Amino acid sequence: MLDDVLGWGGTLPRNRVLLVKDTVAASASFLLLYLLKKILATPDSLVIFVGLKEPFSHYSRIARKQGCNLAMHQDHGSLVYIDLLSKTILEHSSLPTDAAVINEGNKLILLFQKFIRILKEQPGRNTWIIIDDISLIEVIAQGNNAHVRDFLHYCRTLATDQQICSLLLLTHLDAYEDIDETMMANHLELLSDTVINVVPLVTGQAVDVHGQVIVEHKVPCNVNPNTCMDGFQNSRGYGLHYKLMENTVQFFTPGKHV
Amino acid sequence: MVETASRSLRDGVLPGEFAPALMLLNRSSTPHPARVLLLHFLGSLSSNIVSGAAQAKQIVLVAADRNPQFYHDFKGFTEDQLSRFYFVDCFVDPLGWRKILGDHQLLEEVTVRFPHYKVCHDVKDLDSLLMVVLQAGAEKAEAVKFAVVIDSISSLLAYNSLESVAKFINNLRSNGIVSSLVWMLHSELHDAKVMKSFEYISSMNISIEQLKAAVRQTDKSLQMVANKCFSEGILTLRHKRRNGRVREQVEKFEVHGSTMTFSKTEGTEAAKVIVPQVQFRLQLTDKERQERAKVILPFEHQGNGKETLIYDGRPEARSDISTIDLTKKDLQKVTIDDIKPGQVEYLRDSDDERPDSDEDPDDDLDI
Repeated sequence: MLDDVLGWGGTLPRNRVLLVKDTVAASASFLLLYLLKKILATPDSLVIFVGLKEPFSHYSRIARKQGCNLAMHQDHGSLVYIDLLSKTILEHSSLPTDAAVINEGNKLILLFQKFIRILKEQPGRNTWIIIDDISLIEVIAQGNNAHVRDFLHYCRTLATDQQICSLLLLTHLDAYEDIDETMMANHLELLSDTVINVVPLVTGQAVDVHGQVIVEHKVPCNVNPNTCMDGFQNSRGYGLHYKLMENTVQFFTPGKHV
Repeated sequence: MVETASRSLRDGVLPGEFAPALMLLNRSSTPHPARVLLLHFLGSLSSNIVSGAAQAKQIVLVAADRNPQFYHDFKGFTEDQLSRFYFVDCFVDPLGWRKILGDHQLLEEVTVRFPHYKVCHDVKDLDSLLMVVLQAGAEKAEAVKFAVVIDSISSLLAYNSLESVAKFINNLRSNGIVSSLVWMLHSELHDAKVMKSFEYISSMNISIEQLKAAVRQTDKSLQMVANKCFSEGILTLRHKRRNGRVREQVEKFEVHGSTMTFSKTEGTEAAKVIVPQVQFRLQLTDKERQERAKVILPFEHQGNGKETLIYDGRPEARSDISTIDLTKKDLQKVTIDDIKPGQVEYLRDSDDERPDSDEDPDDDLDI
């Protein structure tokens, strides 16, 4: 059902920026894995996963429970995991350190270089760069939002007519409530083509509903209109409720859960 | 309204004046309508150039927000129109990262595909960007005027100070060979000072706002319901004339994919027709007006030569009706004879207590 609302029913969208915003009360890590599974299931797809929050074993374990073997995808070359939790960004790069110095100390150029190298090795594939999450990228940039902004801009330039490249970014909705931080939040909003907000129920906790996802499209896309008519709407977009099961996640329109 | 702006861009610069400058101010977090509006202006300007109606002979498009490929692949442009474009690419490598990393492959491919194409590797250097833009425009013939379109000035402001970007714009406007100038600003990325500054240095500005209520107006017959959430909104055009007059117009827009339709808002229509259209007359003729003035209303003075006395509720006045016919002199007489001047009569409760005693009079109350 979420696929219909996202417009992922038939094929994956190309050259899109997808922003997932979560809150403390409703974490979106399940959604990230759900989308990762979807992408990996599509033939000729390539995922570059930048992990900053959890170790690979964590993602791998949860994905396996849900019927997806990340290690196998890694062996087949359809998943490239960039571990920035245990390794520093410099360990991933062959660039002389002075190059980073030239660019006003923006270390994220090294990560961008890594992306370029992977794309050159496997050209023409439907590539998705997944970053978990942006607030930790800010930590690498030592709190310099301008550096993160530049890095994200360069990630966007990776999509050309020869190369399909989409971005899936996770960020925290409530981390940008500070006035100084709103510019960064606005920038992420303007950058993205689709925004998914993962928020708790307004009425509080429930046994059958663990939260709601609200999908906001900013560019035209092939959304199944019938599904959207069933879902609820607010000023931001189309919403669905979800329930997290042991091995899967269920999305449903409000009040339709059996 | 949008046609007014298009005409102004088409007519171009007058000798000795600054070039007309149009700012598109995107006020929402969804830039799609603003981008479609920019494409609309690009389309109308380039078709005017092709037909020879415009003063400019080509368009220099500084692409900082989208890949030039996006404009090149846009289906709304014909081959003729595209041949009038010259791209300055500030999108693909604004900070020179690709140059540092030696990733020239991509850039070379692009340059082969488009002959009129230049990549800017350092957006921070606005002086050389200005040179690139001016050289690009004057490439074919020196005397030819050209239009400059910057698809996002917010991207330039991300790397430069407000003063230097304003100087860059002013240099373009005052150059003489630039026929007209269009740029887009995303208001959510800047504070009020930046927006106001650019409103001052533009001759026209169009502010694009979405209608939030439009989300709820879904139509089952539409194939792309999701598009509804950004498809409707309001455009406000502020046109500054040379004589100092500022004119503001409001229009409603609707986006269908990559095209935009405009319609007048209800507010402006209502302003035109002040008197509602009904089947009976609401106005009076002069004769009717004179006759109306002659009518004496019941509460007005009847003019029979006597002063009117209005009953004030006193019972004595009511009991004797003849009192109403008293003259003013009689009334005064009655007042003086019957009513004594005001005096207060006071009786002390007890003689035991002297009035100026220090004793507390409430002493016995056991408070």
